[in-house]
Amino acid sequence: MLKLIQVFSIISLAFLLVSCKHLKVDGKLIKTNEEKFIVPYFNVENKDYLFSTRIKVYGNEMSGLLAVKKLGNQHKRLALLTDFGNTLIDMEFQGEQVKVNYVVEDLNRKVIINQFKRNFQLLLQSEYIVKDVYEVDEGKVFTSKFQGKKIHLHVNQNENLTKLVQANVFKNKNEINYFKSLEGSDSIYFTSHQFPIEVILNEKIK
Amino acid sequence: MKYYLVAIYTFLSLGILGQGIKMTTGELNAFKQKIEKETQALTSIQTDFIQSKHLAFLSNDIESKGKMYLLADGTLKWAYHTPNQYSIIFKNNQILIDDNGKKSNVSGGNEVFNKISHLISGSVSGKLFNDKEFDVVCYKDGDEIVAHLTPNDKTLKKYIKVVYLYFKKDESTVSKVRLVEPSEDYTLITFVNKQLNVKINPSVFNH
Repeated sequence: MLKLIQVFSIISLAFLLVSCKHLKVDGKLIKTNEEKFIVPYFNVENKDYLFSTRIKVYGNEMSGLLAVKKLGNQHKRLALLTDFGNTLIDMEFQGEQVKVNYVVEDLNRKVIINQFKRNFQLLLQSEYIVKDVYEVDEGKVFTSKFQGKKIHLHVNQNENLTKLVQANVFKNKNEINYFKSLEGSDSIYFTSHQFPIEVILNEKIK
Repeated sequence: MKYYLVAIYTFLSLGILGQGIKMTTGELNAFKQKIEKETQALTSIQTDFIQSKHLAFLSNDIESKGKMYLLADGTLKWAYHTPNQYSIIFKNNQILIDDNGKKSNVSGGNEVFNKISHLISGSVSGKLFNDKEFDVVCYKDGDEIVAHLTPNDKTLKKYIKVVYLYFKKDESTVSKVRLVEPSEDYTLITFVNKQLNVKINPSVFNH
């Protein structure tokens, strides 16, 4: 019996070590005085952010518009609209609080709303407390924590944010990739590794 | 005190607060009959449109532009060209969507889409004005008549609080439509370059 427990413990430990490997930053830990990492997206106060949006959820696809505005320090509001202009969801984020101002009845399910809350909160989060900084081939990786999970913020040699990865002990949960077009507009790709959810945002410039 | 009350009542009943003067039952019935008679003779409408979405928290309204084609049998194409290429065709109980080149079909039995089709075509032609699914109150405001349509239908009520149809004097089709959502945000659609009874190439409705 004791031997069986020992074998089980070794297998569990091995599994945990293999599982945790994805969290390890493949780079050199460097000293830093930077206490905060600021994500430059959705972070200018009183600016209207408008993105063409394509959402893929469980094999279904829809397009529309995402409107975001920073109303004050750690206070942002977001609305997801159809191409026809109907509001599907309207949410407000203040600190860690998320308030749903409106949700269209078809989406008004606790599971869906909670998913929207978590994912959009991560998308709009602009400030992270830096834990460690690593030097990697592509640039640097800043580590932090948000929503109780680890965050890796990847910046390139030009100090531009290119990727955010959110993970728990076992696997990557969400990934956000950031791109800039030649015209200067921003594109943001959000991918969930927990559920078949993908959100593609392309900035609309007037 | 009595004079103040009279003044306030007069002020409100004259509609100086912005919605015009309420039509009497006789005026409303005459206007409804006029619209019904004139829209019966309609064979087609082709128009450009400018859509402004108003969200209370944004500094500027979100603008989209496109083109709309409507035939007397209810065949409808609503096509955006700015900022996104997106079109939706309601034809032969079929809903055909072209989302920037990605084409799809939706079953014609979809209640929400049917309501949307009915709402769009009815708004543009003015037929909605005579629809039993809405409570209608009309106001005269300068050179305009504004119909306030409140949905009775429970499916529509989820999406629309009230529809305002704006008719220019001596026109039987609407010049503007304002759709107010339960959240009080609204979409204003203004029709420009409107052409009535022109021949529309059937290929416009191809998918």
